[in-house]
Amino acid sequence: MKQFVATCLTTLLLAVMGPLMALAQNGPLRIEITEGVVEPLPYAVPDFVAESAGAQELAQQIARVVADDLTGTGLFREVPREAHISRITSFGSPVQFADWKAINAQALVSGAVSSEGGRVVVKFRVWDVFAGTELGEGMQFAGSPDGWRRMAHKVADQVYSRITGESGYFDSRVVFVSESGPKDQRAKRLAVMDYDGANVQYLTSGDALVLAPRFSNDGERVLYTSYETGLPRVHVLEVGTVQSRILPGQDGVMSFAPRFAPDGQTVVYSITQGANTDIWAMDIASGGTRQLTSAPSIETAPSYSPDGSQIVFESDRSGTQQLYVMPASGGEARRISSGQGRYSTPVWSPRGDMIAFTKQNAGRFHIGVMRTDGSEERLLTASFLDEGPTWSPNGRVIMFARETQGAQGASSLYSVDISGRNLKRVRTPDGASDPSWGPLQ
Amino acid sequence: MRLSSKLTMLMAGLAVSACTNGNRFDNDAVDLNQATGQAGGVVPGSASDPASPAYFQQTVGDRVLFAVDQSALGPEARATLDGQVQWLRTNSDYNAVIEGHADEQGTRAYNLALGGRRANSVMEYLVSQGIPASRLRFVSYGKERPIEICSDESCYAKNRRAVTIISAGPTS
Amino acid sequence: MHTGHYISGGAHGVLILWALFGGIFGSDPPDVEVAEVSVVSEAEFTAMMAPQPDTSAAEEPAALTPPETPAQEEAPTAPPEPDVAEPDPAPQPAVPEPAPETTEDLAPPPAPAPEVEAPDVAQRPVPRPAPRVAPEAVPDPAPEADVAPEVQETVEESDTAETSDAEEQQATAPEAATTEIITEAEEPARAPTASVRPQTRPNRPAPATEPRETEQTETAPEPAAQEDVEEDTASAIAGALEEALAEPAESPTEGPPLTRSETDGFRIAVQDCWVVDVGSQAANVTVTVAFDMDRSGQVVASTLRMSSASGGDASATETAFQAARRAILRCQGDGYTLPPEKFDQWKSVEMTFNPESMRIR
Repeated sequence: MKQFVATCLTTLLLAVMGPLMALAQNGPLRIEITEGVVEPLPYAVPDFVAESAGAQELAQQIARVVADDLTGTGLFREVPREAHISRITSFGSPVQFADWKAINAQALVSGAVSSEGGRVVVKFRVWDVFAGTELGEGMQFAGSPDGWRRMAHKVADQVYSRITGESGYFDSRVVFVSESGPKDQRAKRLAVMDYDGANVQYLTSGDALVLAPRFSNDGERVLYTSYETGLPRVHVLEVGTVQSRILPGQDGVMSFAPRFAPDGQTVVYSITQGANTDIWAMDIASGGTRQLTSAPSIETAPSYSPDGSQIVFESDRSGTQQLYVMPASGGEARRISSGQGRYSTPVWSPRGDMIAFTKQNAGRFHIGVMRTDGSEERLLTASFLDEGPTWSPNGRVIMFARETQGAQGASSLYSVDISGRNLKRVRTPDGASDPSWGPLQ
Repeated sequence: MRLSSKLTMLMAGLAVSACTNGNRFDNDAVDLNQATGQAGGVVPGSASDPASPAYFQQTVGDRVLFAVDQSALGPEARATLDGQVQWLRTNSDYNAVIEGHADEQGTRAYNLALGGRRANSVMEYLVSQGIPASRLRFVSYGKERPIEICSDESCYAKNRRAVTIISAGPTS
Repeated sequence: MHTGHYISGGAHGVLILWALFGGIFGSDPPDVEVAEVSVVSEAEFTAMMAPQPDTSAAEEPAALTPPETPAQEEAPTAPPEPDVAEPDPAPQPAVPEPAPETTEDLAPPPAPAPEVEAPDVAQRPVPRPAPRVAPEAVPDPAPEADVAPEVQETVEESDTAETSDAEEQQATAPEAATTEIITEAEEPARAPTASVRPQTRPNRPAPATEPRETEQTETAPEPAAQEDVEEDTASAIAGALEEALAEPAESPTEGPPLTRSETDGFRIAVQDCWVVDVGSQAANVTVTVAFDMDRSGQVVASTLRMSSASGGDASATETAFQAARRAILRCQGDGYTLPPEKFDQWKSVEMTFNPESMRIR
């Protein structure tokens, strides 16, 4: 806090001194601005122009999905169509910037859709209204009519990255556990969906209890824990063929909490032997294993750094669950969590600079983030039970599972911006838990 | 303390490795605990038949409870387990699977490991009382299979448990 | 590029996709919505279409190409006759200069002081309704404290209510909360402290020349200050310092310099429009934008340029620059309010946007 006050003082002094110094010198007037506003950027997405007969509905739907994606980030606010002064009736006509400025749309997305012979073409442009210029260049996507949502997500990803300078995350999928039935007889099956909850498909039958699926970095395989053999064992599933196999292991020994290394060749996971749970690594092709931890405590929930050189995991070696970082080859681990309470399920961010975790403190659960050295801890959520964060492919958003309290309690997925804003539920057909966000496609 | 935990691990290791054919449990496990009534009458298999799994479950007591985050056995738990030992000695043609569970206040992977610890401490106790490790196996369900579903300590206390499930094992 | 490759690649792609996905989900109803999206730049597409006008040729590649591969090839890549077909490369003619049409065509009479409030207000109504988080958070501490789980959402979604606050915003605390991001986890603790907010007032610049202007605007810039009590203290101290320092510095070096409140007015007008995405990489970038002004206080848009930047990669820097540029252009209304007789002092400006104190902590 002291540091904080100091920062404040410095900042304010700067703010004060800046103008003062400006007074004293020649040349341009110098002004320093240190405070801005945090608010969504207003933008407009008029319905896309239908360039072929019958493309009308698609053109509207695509524009709506683009708007839902952008508005859903919390970083943008759509100026409602009723407020629009200009209509865009032709993709090629000049944009009347004044009309969009007048309604304070800072960005404008114009687009057109044509549909012919089972092929849909979506074109779009992004405009910086106040500068009166185009952001980037016009682009188009083509595909089958079934793929219209993906095309819309791709358009939104482009708009997002042109405005924010960072890659998007809309054209991505999430693998998760779909839950149904009461708490004491809950059926669980693996499922995959678009990031926004659309297009849910089931990957397992629900006969066997399954837990905690994890996407590989390329999104082609999923690791998960299944009770198919009667006790928890790590399985790997090819998303394309929906074929799965159990990873080799000792009979009668529990293995769980798997996660891929960034290269997709190695898997880290936990094995329980007697009272002791340790972290192991397996070469997925050869089945060769190697023990990475050996403390007589519970070591689990390992997650690689994006460069594959380190692993963050949880351990109760100190008496309560805390977060530790060790080299990917095992060896000396250093504790990084230091606050009150218990820390678990650490996940390294794709940007590499942060670790998301679950924290239990004073009877509440939180999703939080910290620097990889444990500093700058920030809690983003609070509820009866939040757990299992997963990062969007651009490292901007965290999805997690929230279970409600009581006999009727159910689990559902939520997402939150890493700034702690824009907490919202991800709609799924049934209950849902254990999300794992796949790559941008 | 250290020594004892090492011994514990060692024993657990032995216990696990003694289980050379893990599959037998998976394939042959029959939920004999539900057998009550199937046989009709009072005789074999019913809860009044001391040799039945139903008797084990209801009269001997098939479960022990744990404190928050703990896997240590209290006096009450030991008493229950002593009864289990007696029964297993008498009915040596049965095997047992010990299921470990946790309450919902914890993250999934940790609770799996914690349930494993609990089941393991029951298994170790049974082994220490002379039940061959080859007749025992354990599995953890973490927080996945609560028996009580409220979100109060009254329910949590019952969910933090290890349950000994009797299964007909091929006598080896 | 080579149509043949597209077709062949496409055809293979389809085969593979079909092999992979055909009928896998036999037991499960929904079909995998496989990525049959190919990405072709408009220009490429035109180029492709040109030689072979029949749709079939074009159709296949699209359907087949695995979506990821050809992604984002932008128009420039296609050499042939790309831009010819491009519908609107230069649609600007209708609106040649961005700056002028900012708002209604009221000529901005250079008479400065009295009008101060007018331009600001006229321009505000539009941006104001934005769903700022703050206005809601401050007035309702109670529910937040209890119902932590849902509050955040309510706050975010309740933009409508804010509209009514619009007028009060200048004078009251609410909008201050804007920059302070209160996470769900922090809410219970935060809520009470937020009400301490009024204490930041001591920080206000001297009641000097144009109290009106400073007051209305000063509230906005400070939002971060209400983070908690310490900060209030800090700002109070800083405020005192500020005043102390301000006096001596007033002595002009040459010509009639701008007064503090004049520069403050300018600064505050811009920062009100500076939208910072605190979670982004661009929030690490400090960027300095240089530009010229005309006598009416309007920015000469064509002179806007980035004169320096630090703290981020090229993409983050560009984003930071764009945000700064938008702030400068968007908030000028009919021209920034600056004393015309001192035009020489402000005809050229270097404005530094430093988000350091706003970054998420």
